[in-house]
Amino acid sequence: MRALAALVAAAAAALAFAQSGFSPEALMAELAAQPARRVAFTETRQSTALDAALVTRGELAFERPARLERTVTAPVAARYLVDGGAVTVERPGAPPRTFPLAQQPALAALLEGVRATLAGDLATLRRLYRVELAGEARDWSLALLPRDPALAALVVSIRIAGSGHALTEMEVVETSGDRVVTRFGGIAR
Amino acid sequence: MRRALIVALWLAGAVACGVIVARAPYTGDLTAFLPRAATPAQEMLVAQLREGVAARLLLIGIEGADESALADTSRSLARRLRASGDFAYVANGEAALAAHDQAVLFEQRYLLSPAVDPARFSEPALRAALERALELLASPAGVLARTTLARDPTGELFALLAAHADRPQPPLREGVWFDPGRRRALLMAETRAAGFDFDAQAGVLARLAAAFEAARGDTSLRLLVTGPAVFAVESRRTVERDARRLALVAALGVAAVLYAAYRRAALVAFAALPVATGMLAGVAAVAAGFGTVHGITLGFGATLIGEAADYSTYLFAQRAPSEALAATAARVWPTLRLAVLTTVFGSLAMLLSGFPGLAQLGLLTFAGALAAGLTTRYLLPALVPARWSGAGDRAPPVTLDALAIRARRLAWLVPAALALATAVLALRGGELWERDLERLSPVAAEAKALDQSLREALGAPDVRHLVVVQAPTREALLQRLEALEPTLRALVERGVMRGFDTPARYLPSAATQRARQAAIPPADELARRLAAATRGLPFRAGLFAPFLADAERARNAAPVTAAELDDTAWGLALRALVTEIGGRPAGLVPLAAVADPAALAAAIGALADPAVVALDLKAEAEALVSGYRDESLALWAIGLAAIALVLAAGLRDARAVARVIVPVLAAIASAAAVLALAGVRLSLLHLVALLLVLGIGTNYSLFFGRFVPGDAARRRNAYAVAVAAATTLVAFGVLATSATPILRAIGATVALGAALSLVFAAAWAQPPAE
Repeated sequence: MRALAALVAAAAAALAFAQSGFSPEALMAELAAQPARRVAFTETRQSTALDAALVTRGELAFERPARLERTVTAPVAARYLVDGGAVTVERPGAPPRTFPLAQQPALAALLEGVRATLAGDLATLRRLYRVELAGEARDWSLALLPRDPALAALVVSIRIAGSGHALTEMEVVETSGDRVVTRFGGIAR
Repeated sequence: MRRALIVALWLAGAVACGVIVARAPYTGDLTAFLPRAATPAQEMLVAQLREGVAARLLLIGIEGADESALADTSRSLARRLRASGDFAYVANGEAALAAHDQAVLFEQRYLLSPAVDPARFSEPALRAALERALELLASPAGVLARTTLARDPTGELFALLAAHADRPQPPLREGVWFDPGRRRALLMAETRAAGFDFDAQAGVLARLAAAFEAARGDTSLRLLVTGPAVFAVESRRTVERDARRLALVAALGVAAVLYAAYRRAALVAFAALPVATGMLAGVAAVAAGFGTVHGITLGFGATLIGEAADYSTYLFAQRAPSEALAATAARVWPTLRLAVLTTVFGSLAMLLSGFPGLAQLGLLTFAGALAAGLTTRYLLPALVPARWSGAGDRAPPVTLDALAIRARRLAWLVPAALALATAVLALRGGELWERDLERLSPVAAEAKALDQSLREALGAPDVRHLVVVQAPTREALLQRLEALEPTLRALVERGVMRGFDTPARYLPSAATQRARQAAIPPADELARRLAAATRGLPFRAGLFAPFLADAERARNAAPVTAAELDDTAWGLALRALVTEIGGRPAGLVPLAAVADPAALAAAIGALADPAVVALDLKAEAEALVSGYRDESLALWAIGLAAIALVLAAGLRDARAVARVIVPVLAAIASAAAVLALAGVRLSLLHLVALLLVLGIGTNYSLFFGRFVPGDAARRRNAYAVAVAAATTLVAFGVLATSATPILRAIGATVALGAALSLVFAAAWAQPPAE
């Protein structure tokens, strides 16, 4: 019975794919065409540990091939830069700290998911995640399901939604039950 | 009847020696050849060579396929190695292992973390920590922070790991360590067997290769292994292989020379009897006297006893036509006895040495030369049938004798060579001796390059500078190490060095741990402060109950011991850095990139604590080697004096003694000078080789200088010396062609020294008038 359902779902997906003609490759090509981007974000963590959601605001910048910068403006200023294989953290009143991304394999896989999506790097995405695309070019939704056991122990799924080359929303569902939703809006540059 | 008795005695002796030799335990412990350490620093050095983790560490690379195949093989190999029981610790970066490490550290975080002090649990500090926790939760690392939030809101694990973040880690690909070029998967393994135990290490390496074969399946992956044990085992294998091959060639060459001299194969076989008997007796004596026999004793012993190969030559080649061999033996014996006794008493000096290695060599030579001499004197005449006349029936060649007589015109050459050579050696001074043992290593340059690249990739650099701290107990040691840290940190800040590692980073002293426990407030007090600190923050009520429980547990726990860290990376580091010197615990503090050794020495000296010593391992190793060399030279001189005494007793004429000793000394000095001029730096190996030259050269002088009535007898005498010299030149000339530095050094030195001895002995030979 379950096999039949899977078969139907696969057929439906194939059908939807055939109708839309929108493939992960096509999406990635569109994303890859953007050499740099800068966008404001609002991130909300809904946590079982907290009585109220934790809201963070700032700006996300990406530059091909591998530079991802997250500048937080509220509630506490901070800057996180992922460049190649190194992460640099800057917080007010503390010297910047740089460490290799590979030191934290789970974190590396998580950040790489965002970065590879922005870079349009499908090969890297598929190495780290099972990739499922739904929707059409103007309104797509990309589901990333971790392959890496270290990440799978922390993250259930990542969903990135967008329109054309622009990202609109990202949702990370953690194994702790927490959900982190990031809304992108307003091109900053 | 007498013959039967001699043969029976020899047989009984040989069988007894054979039994002892067969039962003797053999060891490859190279460090037995190291001198008794003169200083605690040297003692530490030797102890590290013997037992240290650095000597037991294998660095492993796998290459030849794509990342995922390499990663799979790395995991499979690591699993097999861990299951093999050969290794105390195997690491390849796998998360499962890292997770185990982290779990252990997490459990003990309040006792291990340097950040724990009374202020840590004050209400303001708790408040700051909680605000920081919120900030972390909102950071890209939030997903990680969330997992430990309830148990560790003050971020103690993070503080603990951050304090160790300077330890370089290779990058991870597919969950295992890779080199920066991503061509090699990397592993690190600590063998249980000690580094000096070459036999055990060879076994471990063979099983490692087999485990890799099984792990790689039918892929074409390659295994790269490096480390001190690999170098040692490889060196030994190279030397042994080379020595075996060359020994065969040399034996064939010697046999050919002897066959040309005797024209009878059976005599060639009998000629080997004294030296074989000598070796058997020598090894048996060592086994009986020392309990164990060192591999190197066998190797060097075979060289030293090489002189005994000449004994039978002096017998067979001296035989007159239709003379009974027993009569020849009786006739030659006074000279041969002196030849044997000079060697026997010369080796006494080494026997007196405090170094087990040298003492063994001395005993082996002592017993071996004695047995070989007696075999030549009594067994050979009893065994060799009268009809095998050896060279006796043929007229000895006239040319050799003529050459020997003409050589006497060169008498001036001996003092000239001695003076010139002495001048050369004196002028070379400090340049004369090899300080860097590395250069004698037969390890190929590419093996060293591989070692270098794997070391860099794994962040396991060769340590040159370190501080050694001693204490009566482990706890006292850790306390002293903790007290030392401010001094070391100041040195880092001044730029004297880049950094340091200390055992106390991995395991704080129990006193420090107790101080941390005392800093944790009682459960109800901590709960009260936490409640106050949480006010106004969005944390769910009761969220931090696990934190309160953990803190209370830590407050009452027994201090962490080394055993609890055993199977973690920290356990490995502790084993590497805590050792014993003379039964007392000692801690090693490796220093990174020391830019100013003088400032370091000054700062450590200013502590005025004899239990804290700054060490330059390279300098200490060099001092150790030169100390050993000085001792050997002293023994050498004592041996020479002993030989002179024996000669004086035998020859009863000071000028005759001088005629024997001066040519051989001139030959030895000239050989050393020629080597020095050729750019060779002398080492212990050369000293051992020159000791052999002393033995055989003395014999040349003795035989050239003996009284021989009649032309025919004198020709046979010259012929015997020439045959003996020819066998030596062939045997050691072959060794001199070796690609292995150790063998080449011995071969070239002996061949050169023997050739010069022959010429000088002939030049100074003045047999008493007929």
